[in-house]
Parts: sequence; C-alpha cells; structure tokens
Amino acid sequence: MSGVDPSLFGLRVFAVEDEALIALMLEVMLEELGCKVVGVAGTVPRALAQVETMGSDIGAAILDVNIGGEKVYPVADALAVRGVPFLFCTGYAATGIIEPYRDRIVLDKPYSKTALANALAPLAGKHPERHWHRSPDTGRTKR
Amino acid sequence: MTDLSGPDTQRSPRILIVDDEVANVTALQSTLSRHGYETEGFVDPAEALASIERGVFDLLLADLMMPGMGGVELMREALARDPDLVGVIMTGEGTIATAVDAMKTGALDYILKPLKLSVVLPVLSRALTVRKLRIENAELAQSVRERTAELEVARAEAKFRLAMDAARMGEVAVDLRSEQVVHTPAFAKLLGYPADRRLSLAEIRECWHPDDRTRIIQERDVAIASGAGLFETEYRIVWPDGTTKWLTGRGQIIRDASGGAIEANVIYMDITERKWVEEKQNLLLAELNHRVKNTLATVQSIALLSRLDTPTPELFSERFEARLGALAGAHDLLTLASWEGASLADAVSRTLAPYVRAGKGAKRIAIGGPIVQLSPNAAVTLHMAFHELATNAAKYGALSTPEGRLDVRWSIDRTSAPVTVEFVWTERGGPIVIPPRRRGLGLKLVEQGLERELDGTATLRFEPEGLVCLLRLPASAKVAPL
Repeated sequence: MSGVDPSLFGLRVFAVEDEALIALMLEVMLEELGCKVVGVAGTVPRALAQVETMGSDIGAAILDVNIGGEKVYPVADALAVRGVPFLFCTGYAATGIIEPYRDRIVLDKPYSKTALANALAPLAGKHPERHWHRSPDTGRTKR
Repeated sequence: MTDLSGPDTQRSPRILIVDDEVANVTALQSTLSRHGYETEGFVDPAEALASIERGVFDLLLADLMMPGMGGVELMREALARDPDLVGVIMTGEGTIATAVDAMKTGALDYILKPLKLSVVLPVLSRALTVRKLRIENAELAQSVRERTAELEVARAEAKFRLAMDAARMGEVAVDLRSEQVVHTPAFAKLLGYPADRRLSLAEIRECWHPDDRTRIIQERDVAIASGAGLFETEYRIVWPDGTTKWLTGRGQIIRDASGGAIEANVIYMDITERKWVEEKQNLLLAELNHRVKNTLATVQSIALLSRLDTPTPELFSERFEARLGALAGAHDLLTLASWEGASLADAVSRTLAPYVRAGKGAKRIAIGGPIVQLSPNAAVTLHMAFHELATNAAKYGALSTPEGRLDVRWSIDRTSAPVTVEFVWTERGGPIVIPPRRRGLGLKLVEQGLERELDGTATLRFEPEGLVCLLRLPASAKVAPL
C-alpha cells in the first residue's frame, strides 16, 4: 500500500465507468487513497441523474470517455456547469478528447494507484468550495 | 500516276550536255533549246559535275568516249550527286556493248551517233517522264514516311491517353506567366466536372479544400522556387456537388534558359479510396489498442480484487489464474463472432461446460431460455459473473455435492418498459447455505457490477436450501432480446 496523499483525504469522488470490474477496482483504489466514493455510474443517464442529485456535493469526478458506446461529454457538461472539477480516463489516445475539454487531465488505461493519485491531486485543490467527507468522530463538516 | 503536274512541269526541262567535241555540244544545245529544253553544255566532265552541284538538272546527256573521265564514270559520279537524275549515253556504232555496260551503271538509255533528231527527241521525252516519275515517287515515299511518323505519334498519344484514363489520371499545364490553363478531359472529371468542361485557373483554385489551401500554396511556391526535378503533392478538393475527394499530383516546373519558371505540368490521380482504406485501418488499429488496454485494465482489476479477497499467496494464484482463464474464455467466445458479441446461452454454457463435462453434472445442470444477444463488454462481464457464481457453487453450493442441482433459466418480460430479461440462477440440493459475512469479489461483481454496467438489478438470496441469483436486465444495446 502506498501512502495516502493527505490532499486527497476525504475527497468526495464520483466515477463514471461502464466496465464492472474496472469500476470495482477504481473504488478500491480510491478508498485506499483515502477518498470517499460518493457514486459510481455505469451509464450516461445514470451518471446524469446522480450529478443532478448530488450536484456540487461532488468534490471531483473521474469520467471514462466511452460509456457503453456513448460519449461521456454530457456528464462533463453537467459537472462543468456546477463547477465540479473532473478528469478523463480512456484506453484511447488522449487526442480523442473534444473541445472544450482538451486541456483536462487524461488518465490512460490501465492506470496505477499512484497515477490515479497524481491525476486527482490537482483537482483536489481546484474546487471553489472544497468538499470534505463528513467525519463523525471529529465533528468536522464540509467547509 | 497519270497526273504528272508538279513543280517540274511548271518550268522547262533542264538538260546537261557533255561531249568532248565543242561542235556536238553547241549543235545539241541549239537544237534542244528550240524544242523547249533549257540546256547547259560542257566539254569537260569535271566542270559538268560542278554544275550538277550548283543547280538542278532533269537529264544528263553524256558522250561515252571522252578523254579523262568517260561517260560511264561521269554517269556514276552524277548519280552520286543526284540519284533522281536520268542519264542517257551517246555512243558511236560498234560500241553498243559498252553502251549496255553504261546502262548498267544507271543510264536509262543510249543514242547512237550520228544523232538523228527523230531518235533523240523521243528518247529524251521518255527520259523526262522517268525523271518525273522518280521525283514523284521520292515525294510520295517522303510523304508516306511523314504520315507514318504522324500516325505513330498519334497512336502513342492515344495509348498514353488510354493509360491516363484507365488510371483515372488527369493532366494539367499552367502557363505561370499568363495563368492560362490547358488540361485533359480526365482532369475536369477528377474535379467533379463533365469531361468537356474547360476550367480556368480560378475555377481550379475554387476546388481546393479550405483546410488545405494554405499548404497547397506553400508547396507550389516551394516547387517554383526550388530547382528542377519532380514535385509531389497530396490534398483534398471539394466537388461542385459538395463531396470531398483526395488527389495526388506529380509534376514538373518548366524553366527558361535563365531558370525562370514558365510552366507547371502536373498529372493528378484520385486517391480518395486509398485514403479511406488508410483511415479505416487507423481506426481499426486505434480500436485494437483500446481493447488491449481495456483488457489489461480488466486483468489489473482481477489481480487487485483477487488480492483483496484471498488470505494467502497460494490461494491468490489459484483464484487469479482461474479468473484469468474465465476472461480468456470470454474472449474466445467473442472471437467466434468477430467481436460483435455473444449470446446469453453461449456465455452460460461456456462457463458451466467444465462442470457439465465433469460427469454426472449433465443431469443436474439445466440451462434454457430465449435468444438474448450480448454486446462484447456485457458478454465479458456476464461471463465473469457466471464464473464467480459457478466457482462459488462448486466450493460451497449445489455443485459441491453429487445430489446438488443447478437450474439456469431466463425469460423475457415484455409487459415492462423497457422490455426486461429476467434471469434466475437456482441452486438446490447442496449443503445448507450460510450467508457469507462479507462479500468477496465474486459476489460484488454479481451485485454491484451487473447493476451498474447493465443498468439492472441483481439480487442474491442465500436461501437455506440453495443460493438464488435474480437478475433483471433492461433491454439495451448491451442486452438485446430478439
């Protein structure tokens, strides 16, 4: 186990990944990094519904570009509107990302936990109002 | 060949008379002049030859016996200078044999001395006819040679055009100073115009694809500025009907003596199809790369998740390898259908095949349901989920005892919207089921994994008489009932 990046601790992460096994691994990796997985969606409509519900309660999002033959961009749009930082992950070459998201971080599949942590770190400080996982024992609420 | 009119008939026939006796020459000249001949007379054969070189004569009338150069030698020398010249030899009686020899050297006829006008005139007239025929023949031969050469050029040109047309090549020449354009009909067709359309340089430039315009101009300027040699270019054009085509051109800049560019000659060819194939190949390679990376990520997931739910390294290897085997099996299934997908029945049968083969299994495993087509990803995930259920059954459930039975059935609920596949995995007759305290990878994959990926619901019921797994999968591109 590599050390937990303190900047990622408690980060509320939402993931869109259509492949069940990879989604399960992503969850494990995020938990090991100290993040709080607030949702995993396997389809674009599900993802949109969850963004709608959670809104800016999401601290950062990881979006697989290809979701069951659909592109994830509508989800990116919904997150961008809410000011939620996000990154893409894909097995395709990074050139596949469309405007206006070409400058976003792209995580190449397969990725290691370290690569995931490095890709998430810039997002952790980016959110205008940073979201921490409510921690009952310290009584600290999101600030 | 009856028409003997020609340049020669427009003027008087010219006759060259050579005899070593001045009186003979003078007499012949005055007589023949009166009969319409233009004459020139010599007593010295060498002077006569010099005169042949200066001017054109039709006939040579030469004495056979002359001091120095005889008539025979003169005749040979004269013919060497003008092969169409017609010669007649004059000889005294008793030397006819010599006259015959003279004729063998090229003289047409001979006349016996003393000369009689009634003999001389018909012989000369006949000689003149031969002269005209010879000239006409030479002209015809020349004309035939020229015409043949023209035909050969035309035939070569036609062959070239045919080759260009067959290769769908169009040729264009641009005068770089006047900007005048000459092009073949095939070139107009390459740009999407009818073959008989003549295009101006402005119209040709209008065809350039907006995104390639700058590059075309740059490449053209480089070709004009740089030295000789062929240049090559590849760019897109837009037809009048809006379709985009790819052209490749090979050309040459023609230069004047000081190296200034005068003309550009370029041959173009349509390579749209080749470009399309290249593009398709690149897409396929990208897709292959994507699939390989996704598969690697799946293997990585299996490794990580197997590590989490196995207590010992030995058990890890065993489970990891079994799961890797299942993943390979899923890929075999997809390869059978060119990676377009697989059927639900195949995914189930393939997973359970080892247990069916194990012997008594055939009786205790029942599989059945209508045709449901799965997308490649759904087929892999379901295959992996069934592998987990089967492994679980073989370890703790119905497949772990000889009495156990496994029922795998599915049906299609067409009353729901969307249409839903209802899948039931029922284990009976195995050991009494104790619900697990925690969910390992297998159960997580079945529950969370299928729910998320296939947008359905998955329920595991740990009934004491056997495990029941219920899947409700809405019809989609991933799960398609017929």
